[in-house]
Amino acid sequence: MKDNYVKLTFAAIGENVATSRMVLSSLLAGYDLSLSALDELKIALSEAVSNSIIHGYGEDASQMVTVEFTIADDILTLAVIDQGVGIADIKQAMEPTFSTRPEHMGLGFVFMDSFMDSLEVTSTLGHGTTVLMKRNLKSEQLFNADAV
Amino acid sequence: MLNMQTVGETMIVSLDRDLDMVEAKNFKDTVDTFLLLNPQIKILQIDLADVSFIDSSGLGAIIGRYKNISLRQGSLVITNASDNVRRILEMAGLKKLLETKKAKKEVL
Ligand SMILES: Nc1ncnc2c1ncn2[C@@H]1O[C@H](COP(=O)(O)OP(=O)(O)O)[C@@H](O)[C@H]1O
Ligand SMILES: [Mg+2]
Repeated sequence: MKDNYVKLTFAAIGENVATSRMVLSSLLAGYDLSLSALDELKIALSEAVSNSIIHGYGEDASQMVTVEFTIADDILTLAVIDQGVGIADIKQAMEPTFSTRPEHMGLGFVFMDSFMDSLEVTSTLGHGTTVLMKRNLKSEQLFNADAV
Repeated sequence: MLNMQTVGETMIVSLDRDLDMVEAKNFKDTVDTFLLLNPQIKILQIDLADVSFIDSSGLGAIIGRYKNISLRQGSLVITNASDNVRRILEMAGLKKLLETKKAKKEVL
């Protein structure tokens, strides 16, 4: 497939989590991904974007989240960027079931980590957080072709 | 939209949107208000037939309702989850809340 790059900046409201998933789906339309692979990518993105909106910005609609979608050599890179409160202890934040909020699962990073080939989190307190995730789309297709 | 129906002690909630942070909040608020006003409800049935996506916000909302209904010695059952949704629910340890194929037949 052709390489591609899309940069999407949107207000930090929950409705835009679906917006970001929609853009991802249409960018991946040319790839013959299995339903579960597509679902996993959508979940990983959903988790990162929800975190920026909820934790980064406390759902302050005047703030902006940016997602950069890059497809290069059939590798998808998702960069989810906010200028929110930042994360004090990234290692702790990424532990399964750790959450700073009640009735939150603490599964966001677990899903991002298990559904993507790589996950990198950089954050500065008071300045914001960037989540960088990659997944090889070609291996999925080969896998599908084998399965058929 | 979220659709609600009660049959005796059972409240059936049917969802038909991606269960992300927006719909999770909608679901949580609606169900909690209804449960508060209807103490007779003992079984919360969540029908996911028309839900094709769930993330950890959706899981959190379901587990929260499970805790609430358990507080009144009630139970929660999830019906008609698609393969994708079922897989995520199972990953989150909610397998026991999924109706079994057998139970489904008995209901029908
Ligand atoms: N973009 C972000 N900005 C600030 N804090 C974040 C961000 N992303 C994650 N966090 C922190 O990491 C914790 C764990 O995130 P996650 O695994 O998604 O679980 P949850 O969202 O259920 O709390 C959050 O509770 C929050 O404290
Ligand atoms: Mg999260």
